[in-house]
Amino acid sequence: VSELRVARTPHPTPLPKGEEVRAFTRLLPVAAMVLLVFNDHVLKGAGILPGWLTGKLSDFAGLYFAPLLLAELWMLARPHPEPRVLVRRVAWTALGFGLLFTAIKTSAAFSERYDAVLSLLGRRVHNTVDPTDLMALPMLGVSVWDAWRLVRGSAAKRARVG
Amino acid sequence: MRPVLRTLLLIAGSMAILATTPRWKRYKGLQTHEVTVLALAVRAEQTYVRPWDLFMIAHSGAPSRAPAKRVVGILSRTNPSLLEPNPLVMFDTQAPYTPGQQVGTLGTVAFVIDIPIEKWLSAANASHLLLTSGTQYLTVFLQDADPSSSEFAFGLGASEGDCDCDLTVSVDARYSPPDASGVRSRE
Repeated sequence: VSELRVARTPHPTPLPKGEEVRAFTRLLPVAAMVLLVFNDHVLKGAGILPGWLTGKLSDFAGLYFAPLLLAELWMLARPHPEPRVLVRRVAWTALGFGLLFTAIKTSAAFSERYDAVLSLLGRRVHNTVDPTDLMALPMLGVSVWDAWRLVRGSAAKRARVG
Repeated sequence: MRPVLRTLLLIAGSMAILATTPRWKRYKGLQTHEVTVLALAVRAEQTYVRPWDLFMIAHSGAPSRAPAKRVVGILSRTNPSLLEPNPLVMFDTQAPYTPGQQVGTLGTVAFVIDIPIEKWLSAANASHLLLTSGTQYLTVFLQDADPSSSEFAFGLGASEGDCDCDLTVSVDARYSPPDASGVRSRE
């Protein structure tokens, strides 16, 4: 209860520089990013793991770390002293990724536009329309939960120190 | 965590999101077949497929100044080499083939594309190239009266990664016209 009370303080004091809660730059999200890169560029098509597994690994890893990454960039661009804002931002980015992911995995037209937009950015990519990939969507919830857990832990730590 | 490391990780993460699922692995698992034939048959064997899986094929290598030629891909369940008469006889080089069209006993037109351009077939432009379980044969006709040299590339690595399947490609030059030089394969 005391932890929650700390997190809901109406006028929180700004966090000291360097002590802000970091959503992405932690071991687990970075490991997920490494897994995605390794899977996409090494495992896929290499015959080491079955295709159905390599086809899903990146989705699960990506949907976990992407909202955390974007939220951390958001916090860098627009800092906010209240740590719980991070959770809200992770939730918003998760919602955005969820909508985008659902669109490109279920609609060939959206998929084609997605490929075209990324091609404009210099990335030659090919998205596969595959509704079964939507099974990775719960990872967005894991991402939000992870951010919430992180902020709660940080608040408890500061309460103990305070 | 040091600011430099944090910055590097954030950049790496952003790039990882943008670079996910490469369109194709140009050199990984790529088989290139240089052919001087009117047609070639490609056998695609799949052990695990889903109804929306696609077989991807690319072609390149034709001189860029050469006039565009139509390439017709026909998907069949029967091994074309077992068909009589020869599928080349069934194929009308002047006919305006369209995807979905049945071509005699050979199979169904999966795609009609122009070369020389490098192109990969996907759900958006080859809706009739859906593979189902089992072995299927893709016969690629160069819709031109004159034998022409083209280079067909089959991106197996990328295809398998995309379609969750196992693919094997073998080029059958049986349908080469008598004056054609046949198939040279390099991997």
